Parts: sequence; structure tokens; C-alpha cells
Amino acid sequence: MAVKIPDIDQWIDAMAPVVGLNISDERRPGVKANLKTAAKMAALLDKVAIKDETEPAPVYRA
Amino acid sequence: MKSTTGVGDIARAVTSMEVSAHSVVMAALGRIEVNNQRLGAFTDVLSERAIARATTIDAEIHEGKRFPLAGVPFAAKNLFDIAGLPTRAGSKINREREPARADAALIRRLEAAGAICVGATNMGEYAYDFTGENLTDGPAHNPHDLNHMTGGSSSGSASAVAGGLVPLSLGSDTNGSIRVPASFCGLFGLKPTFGRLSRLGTFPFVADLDHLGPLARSVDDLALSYDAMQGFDEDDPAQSRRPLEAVTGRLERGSAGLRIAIADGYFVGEADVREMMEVVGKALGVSRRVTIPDVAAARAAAFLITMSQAATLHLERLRTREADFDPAVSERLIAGAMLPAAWVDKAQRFRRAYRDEVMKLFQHVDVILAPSTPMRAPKIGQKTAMFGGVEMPVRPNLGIFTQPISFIGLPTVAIPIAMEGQRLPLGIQAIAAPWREDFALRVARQLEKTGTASAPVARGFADE
Repeated sequence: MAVKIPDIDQWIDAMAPVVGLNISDERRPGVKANLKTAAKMAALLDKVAIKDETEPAPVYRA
Repeated sequence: MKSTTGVGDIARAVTSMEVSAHSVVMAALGRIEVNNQRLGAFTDVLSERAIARATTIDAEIHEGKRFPLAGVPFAAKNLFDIAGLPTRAGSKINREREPARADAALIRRLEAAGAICVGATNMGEYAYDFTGENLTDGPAHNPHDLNHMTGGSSSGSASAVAGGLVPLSLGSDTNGSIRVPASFCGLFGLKPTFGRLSRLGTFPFVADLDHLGPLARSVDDLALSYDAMQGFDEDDPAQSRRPLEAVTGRLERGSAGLRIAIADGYFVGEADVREMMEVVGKALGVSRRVTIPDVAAARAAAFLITMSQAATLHLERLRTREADFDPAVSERLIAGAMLPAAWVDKAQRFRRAYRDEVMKLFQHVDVILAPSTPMRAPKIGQKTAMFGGVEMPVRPNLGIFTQPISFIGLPTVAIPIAMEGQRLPLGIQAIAAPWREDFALRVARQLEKTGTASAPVARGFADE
């Protein structure tokens, strides 16, 4: 599987300063839970093959 | 005018001068005064403005002018700009904004059609919510059982209509925020095609997914308000240039001639959700099933795009004002700010591929039916519930059935299904191809005509 559930504390410690956020001890468990959910979602999406020619829909038109 | 009187009946009575718009508005304001403390539906009541507007409407009707929504009181979720109020979008922080200089486009259109905005309604913080709870303003309460959630994030808009305070309200729906509260509060709701209605003058959540639409207690009432809100607005960059495609008067054919199927697989839900789908299938004579492909991946993609775009929108506030957010919201937003771009880009590319696959289904079917929510309204404060036999957090999971549909902008009507012996409502989605709101509304009308769908004012709030 290409997307693995990573060590989420490491993820937070690396990324929080990159985006200029301080994560308090109070918020950390909730942020971790949400990142874990996001990683599960990404893993699910990663299983779907998409053709190179499939372009994104940045301004979506139904 | 009774709490149970709908949009069409009010407009007819005011137009024929059987009652005045002034008396209609006074009755609505009176009901808000009496019941709002119990319901937590309104955060702002515009008494002075509404009375002035009603007086003007009455004078114009006396002069012979005609309005399709004459004297109809309505409410708007507090992410809609209302001139003179800071657009709080359910948040603590936004109350410090400059007051809006003008009303949102849809409020202006409804008022141009004779309707009267009586107030702004409670909502989940920054619309990132399916529960209807709000840390600053308190929860909106479900009029069918005050201990239960309204659903969110258009919580107060649903509570106000199900509690009979007004016959019509405006909500927004990014991942299900009209359809989830419509299901929990037993209302009809319309999430039109992405790009159909102007979003000008509303506080955003996820630009790629935000929709606006009405909540009401009958299909005709939805149709009347929807028609009044249609039309191109060049100031909204996401709006499509579509002609006005009126639906009022075009729904009486019901489901005759429409190819209808029920979504299977992913859209299972708890036992009474399955029972509801049986009831609906029988009422429409539909046994056909259809499988929406990759629907779990669609939900995942919508989830990631939402986290990421909402985080970008709020990043500066998260840096400087984090303590002023509801932690349930800020923790999701902070996480959203730290997602790899590859995940979000993949989600956007998948969106195009998924859209193409779902469009293939619409070559063979006109309307797909699915439940709106996996369960009836949980209790206020309830944190977890059983989803498919697994205990999961309530907040992010109430939208599992709505999220994969709005993800590709499909027009959807939320339909409340009447089931014997159930106090708490439950509803379905009628989903159509882009720009075919009329098909979804015709299915809703069919179910309404046969009594399978109904949206009564909740017991205890209905005038005898």
C-alpha cells in the first residue's frame, strides 16, 4: 500500500512549523485523530487508478 | 396565519388581500418570540426591517403589483450577508467583522419576489458540522424532540421551519448541510446543481463544493422559492450561465415516465433506514437497483478536499485565534492544513473521473434514490453511534450518504418519509443528472401526493 498510516506525532512536529501553526497539548490528540482519519481516506483513494489524461476539476462544472 | 401555513398559501392570501403581509410577519415574529428560546433556531431577529418591508409590500399590492412570494416570511442561515449585521457563519471570531453592507444575492432575489427576511439562523461553526451543535450560540434543537440534534450545519434553518416559526429558510450544503438537517427535522430541502444559484454575499466554506438552497414543508414551496432564486449572477465566479428553468407548475406529472433506481451497496444504513427504502420503493413501484461506482472513494476525496480547502481559508485565524474556535472544528482544520498536496490533487483528479462514471449511470436512469442519513437524529451531545455495526464518531459520519453526491454537484431533493410510530423523522435523497432539478422534484411530488412523504410542523409547535 502506497499510503501508510505514519507516526502522527512526527508528522505534526514536522509540518506544524512549516505551515506556521503551534499545536497545544490540549489540541494534539484531536489533531492526531483527524490526521489518522485523513490518512485512511487517502489510502482508500490511493487504491483507485486514474488515467494520466484525467485532469482535475479546479473550477468544477457539473 | 397559522404556523402550519405554507409559502404558496401565504402568497395567495396576501395577494388577494385576504390577509396583510404585515399581519403575516407579526404572526411569525410572535412565534419566534414564544418558541425561539426552546429551539435555538434564530441568532438574529429582524423585527423592524421585516415590519417595514411588509408595510411596503402591502402598499404595493394595494397599487396592483403582484409578487410570487407576497408576504412570505423566511429566515437565512447566518452565513448569508444581511445588511447591517456581521456575517458570523456560526463562529465567535466573525462577530468582529464589519457589518455587511448589502444582503446576499439570494436574499435580495427572494425579497424582490415579495418574501420578507425575518432573521438569521443558528448554524454549525464555519459550516464544518453535521450535528447542529454550536459552542458559542448553543445547539439548535430538533422540534420533533428537543433533546435531539437538528443535524447541521443548516441547523437553525431546519429547526425554524420544522418548528413552524417560518415556512421557508435558506441553508448551505457543502457535504450535506441541507440534506442532513432535512432528514433529521423531517423537511423537504433542495440542493441544486453546483453553479445553479448565486453564492454572492455568503461566507464560504469549501469553494469547490459549496451550494445554497431552500428548506420548506412542501414540494410546491421549495419550487416557488427555487424559481425566485434562479438566474445568472456575473459576480459569482462559480455560477454557470444557465437560463432560468422554472419548475413551478411542472411537477404534477409526478414520477410518471421517469426511470428510477435505488442505490445499493454503500447506501445501507441501520435497520429502519433499510425499511424506509423499502417503503419508498413500494410507493413508487421501483425495485430496480443501481450501484454508484467508487462511492467510498468519492466520500474520501470530498473529505480530503474539504479539510484542505477549509484549512487554507482559516489558516491565518488558526495561527492567531485558535482559542476562539470550537476545538471540534479547529482540530479538523489544523489537520487539514498539514495534508500532502498529492492527496488533495488526487482527490480533485478523481472527482473528474468519478463524475464521468456517474454520468454513465444517468444514460439509463433519471433519478437515483438513497437515504440522506445513516440513522435518525442522535441526542444532542452524543459523540458516537453505530454505523454498520461499528461504533464511530457521530460528527464526521452523519454525512456519509450525502457527501459523495454533492462532491460532483448533482441536484438533489431531500424528501422526508412518513413512517408509522416514529417520532423522529428520516429522509431520502432523490438525485438527478446535472440541471435536472425538475426530475428530482417530480419524484418528491409523487411521494408527497401519495402521502409517503410529508413534512408536518412538529407536535407542540403546530397550531390546531
